[in-house]
Amino acid sequence: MQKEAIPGRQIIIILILFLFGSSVVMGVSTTAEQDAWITLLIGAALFIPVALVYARITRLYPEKDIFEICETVVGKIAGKIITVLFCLYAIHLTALVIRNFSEFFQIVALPQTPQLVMMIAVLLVTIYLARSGMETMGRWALVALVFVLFIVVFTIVFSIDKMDTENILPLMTHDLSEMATGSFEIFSFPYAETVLFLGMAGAIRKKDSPYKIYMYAILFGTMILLSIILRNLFVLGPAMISSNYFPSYTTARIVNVADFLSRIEGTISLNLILAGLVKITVCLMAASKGTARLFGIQDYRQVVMPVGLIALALCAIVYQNTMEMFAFIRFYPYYTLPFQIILPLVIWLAAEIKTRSHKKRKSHKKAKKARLA
Amino acid sequence: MLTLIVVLLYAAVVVLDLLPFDKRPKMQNAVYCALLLISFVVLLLFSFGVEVPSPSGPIQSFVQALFKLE
Repeated sequence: MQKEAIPGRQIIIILILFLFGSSVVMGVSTTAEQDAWITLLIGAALFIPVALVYARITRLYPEKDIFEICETVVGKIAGKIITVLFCLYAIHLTALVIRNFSEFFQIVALPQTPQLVMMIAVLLVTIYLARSGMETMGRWALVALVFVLFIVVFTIVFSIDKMDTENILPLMTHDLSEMATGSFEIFSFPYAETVLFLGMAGAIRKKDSPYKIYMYAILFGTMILLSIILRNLFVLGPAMISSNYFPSYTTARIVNVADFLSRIEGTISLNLILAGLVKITVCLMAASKGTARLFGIQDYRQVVMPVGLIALALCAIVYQNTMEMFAFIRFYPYYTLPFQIILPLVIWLAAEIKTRSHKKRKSHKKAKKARLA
Repeated sequence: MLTLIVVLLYAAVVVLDLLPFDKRPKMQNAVYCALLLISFVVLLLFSFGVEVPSPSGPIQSFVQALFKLE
């Protein structure tokens, strides 16, 4: 398969946009209401050891993606089974994120337009981006991040006069189980979804440290998400956030600077487009790479279109309505547990055993040669 | 209307993406055609208003049963 390596800085940006992706409109878990920012920090902290596992897998087999690593460490048959599971998850996540897009746009802007049309529009762009390869996506992410950050800062600055810092109080009123549930939800959506980036781990150059890449992405991604949560909380308050499907959009709607600058909620849609496209493309690329590996196809770009259309078909049937979409979020962290934690752990352990035994055998051979000499 | 959109989309994919690369390896063509056909049938049924079973229901039931969620 073709190797595409991009600078570590671009990978960090792709990961930040991936984390930011659909969270920008879907918001992060609202189970803990005004304590959501605490659950975000706990969720991020919980993700650090898991990210270290992802990074270790990448470090043990540099310039290889998870599908190649699987077949190397657990054998061909088990490797293929794991590849199938990852592919299914990647296709499902692609479908879910595209559905977030279409539901959002239908509710806020295009109520009469069939969702399928919006889905097709989004999918065609992501197929084009995925086919263009990692280098193009890296450059796109660089441009997109500038706009995304500008919009986040812009909405924060112009909503300052609407902010009530007392909305954050009372602190820690939720019991341990509610806090744990909120943290777990944030851990799996969006943090641990980055497991799909392992499908593109081959793009990380040997000289770049995957540990640094993951840690910087978590740090900056968490900072952006934290600022969004606090902005929404200060402007809307916990009750309004809980009753809103898209709190960021509602926050931006309230912004009104001297009756001159208003209706800036469109910028939130722009954020979703910029960051969401990166997230969908990463998922689609992972699914395509897995499919190509599964059937021994040399270039994953050749299957991006049919895999994307499978995701489109799934996207069309996955939910009946918006309420169903938000209801599924409750079950999502449990459903993704095997893909985000169990499978990477299995692969990591197998990879450690394999590399250590390989090293041992090498040193034995060296010692034997030295003795003979 | 939806049916027309689906048919046009797939016609465009076949004409612009599948046919120009007919010298692809056999396996690649087979995978491409199989995935294309599956997605086309599902989307066509969806456009006709047929309720195609979604994986979300079984996933929810499975998770509820496994983790004893209410």
